[in-house]
Amino acid sequence: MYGWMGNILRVNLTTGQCTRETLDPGVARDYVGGRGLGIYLLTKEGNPEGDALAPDNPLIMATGPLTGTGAPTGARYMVMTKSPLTGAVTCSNSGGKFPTEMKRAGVDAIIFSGRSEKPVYLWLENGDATLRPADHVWGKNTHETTDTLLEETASGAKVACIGPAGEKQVLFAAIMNDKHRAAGRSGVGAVMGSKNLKAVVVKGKGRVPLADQERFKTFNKQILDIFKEGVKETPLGLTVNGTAGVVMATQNFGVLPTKNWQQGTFEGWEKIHGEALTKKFLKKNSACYGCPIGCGRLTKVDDERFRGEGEGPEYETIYAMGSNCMIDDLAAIVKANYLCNELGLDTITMGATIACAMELADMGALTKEQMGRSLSWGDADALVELTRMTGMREGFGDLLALGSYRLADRFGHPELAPVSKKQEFPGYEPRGSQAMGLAYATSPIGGSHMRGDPAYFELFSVPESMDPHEWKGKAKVTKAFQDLSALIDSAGLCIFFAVRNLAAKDLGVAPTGILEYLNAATGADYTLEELMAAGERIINAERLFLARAGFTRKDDSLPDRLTKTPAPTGPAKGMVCHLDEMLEEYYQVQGWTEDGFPGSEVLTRLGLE
Amino acid sequence: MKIHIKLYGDLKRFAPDRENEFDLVLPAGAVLSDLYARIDIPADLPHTILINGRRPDEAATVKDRDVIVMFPQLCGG
Ligand code: SF4
Repeated sequence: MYGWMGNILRVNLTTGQCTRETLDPGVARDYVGGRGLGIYLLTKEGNPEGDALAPDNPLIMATGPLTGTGAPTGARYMVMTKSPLTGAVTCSNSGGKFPTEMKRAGVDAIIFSGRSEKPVYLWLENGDATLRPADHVWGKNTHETTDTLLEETASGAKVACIGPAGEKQVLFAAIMNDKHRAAGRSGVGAVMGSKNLKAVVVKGKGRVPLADQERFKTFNKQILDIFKEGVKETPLGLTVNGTAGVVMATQNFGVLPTKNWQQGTFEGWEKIHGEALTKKFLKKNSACYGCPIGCGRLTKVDDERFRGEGEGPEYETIYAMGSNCMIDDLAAIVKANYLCNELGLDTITMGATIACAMELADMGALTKEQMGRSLSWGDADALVELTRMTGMREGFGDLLALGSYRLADRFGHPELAPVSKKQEFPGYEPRGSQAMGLAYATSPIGGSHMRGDPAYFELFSVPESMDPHEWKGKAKVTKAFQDLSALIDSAGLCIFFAVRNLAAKDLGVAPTGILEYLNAATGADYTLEELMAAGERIINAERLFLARAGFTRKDDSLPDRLTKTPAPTGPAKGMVCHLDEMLEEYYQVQGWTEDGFPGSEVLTRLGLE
Repeated sequence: MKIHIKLYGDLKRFAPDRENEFDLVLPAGAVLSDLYARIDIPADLPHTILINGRRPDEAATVKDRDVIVMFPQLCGG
């Protein structure tokens, strides 16, 4: 097989057995890889109705056919399982170096099933897999764990692991790889913790075989030349300020979520903007394997209160822990980000949950006694301390560990949780960015921007500018971006490169560049129509998983705060998000029933009946 | 009439006196092209312009005390 190592590793944690299976070429073609392969395997082996933290919930790590090939940003893997936070599917995606090394070690995907009696880690070297005891690193943070396991395996190996948050099954625990990169969302780290699996360590010398080396090389050069030409005079904003540079845009569009989503503008935004990060804390950029952009930030804080060193923060972290908590102290946000990476927590849900607690405290629904401390808007020390307590599930942190929905519900105000399907939103306010609301409501994982990101066409003018305040006609382009994201996530690429450089602007972001890469790498010989149908197949397969897990149209929702309360400030002042109208249009475009289930025509066309 | 301009990111280099925020006096009824005639941003440099937080169409007029924000291409987080 080309583009693949041809193997799936199956690890039964209950019996301790590791076995290898051949990757089915037909499945690889129909589902592309990564996220697509993940939902195929999860559908086949998982239990949509079951408990996400029970042993029968498989945890799947899947690379794509372009992972490790040298295609720009071909560095990613997906973690797919049933989420303990949402009860839906997860699609947690991460780059760095681990996914490429996993493929070089000889496997395209790993399926973990069962539960080990004692803490273990998987050591995979050039195709040989063994489970080793991990008692000595249980309780250790992700950095200590990584260092210890590298010492006892091999230098140059790569590590993905959980921290204390995953061990203690915080519902939004992350799986961290290469210390600072996160398969962050939906609690994949809690599932790993529930299996007593502390880490996966990989090393290998394998090379990903390519179907047509020459064709791959020629196209790769062409794409990289265009990219380099484009950034010759003006470097990419992502390279200069990282994703943190987006604060300026969302603030000026009035969609920077502030004060637990009450408004879309934040007075202190300039203090938390990417330029401030670059000036005050940036040591140097970092990049995932094969990435010409390098949006990663190696940072250092000298401020005595928040001293530390590490990577981040991203834009999403800055919104969640900054404007959303009314915190303009960037050092505190960076520190809380470090803690999330070390303890293994998702920064978005962490920040959004603390902001929700701040509002509950502000209105008197949460008392000092219940929290064991005071809590008010803008409290930077609380942000850092509560993040630590959540990762360790200490005191009030044990409640925060359940995420904003369960917290707000417990104290009588579920409407204050900024969630769809119980997962917290990323940092774009749907009252001033209408299609974002549609994307949040229909994303298979709940609140997310990575499963089809309308900020591209509403804010960043890709493929063309669309008025962010208009809701009519947004369904079609939102679907196009969702299908595109499914392909990007499945191929093993990063959205930041692929959307601008590998999708045809004049064809409504059709994946023309991804098509050429995939055909050169795998020899699958897709037509553009076949590849686009594969994107739809993945989205619909995820939707079927959700339907079997009990999700219906009522779960494609947003809190009333966004659909009923007019925005109080900024350019979107007076507006609400027109979700119901967009949903109507969206289901039609998808060919789904009024209840939001994939229609029989769609299922037949995609071979999903 | 007087409008207020804010330039961000790499566009700052087009600001007079290297101050990214400045006022500009334009004749009443000025349109976008009059504004561009005063700031030297090349037409082919991809960027976003917002007038009071909204993307204007090409023929948009500028009004007294409008706040105009311009920034280079970005993508998400
Ligand atoms: S753009 Fe950033 S996240 Fe994407 S591959 Fe490059 S460094 Fe990694």
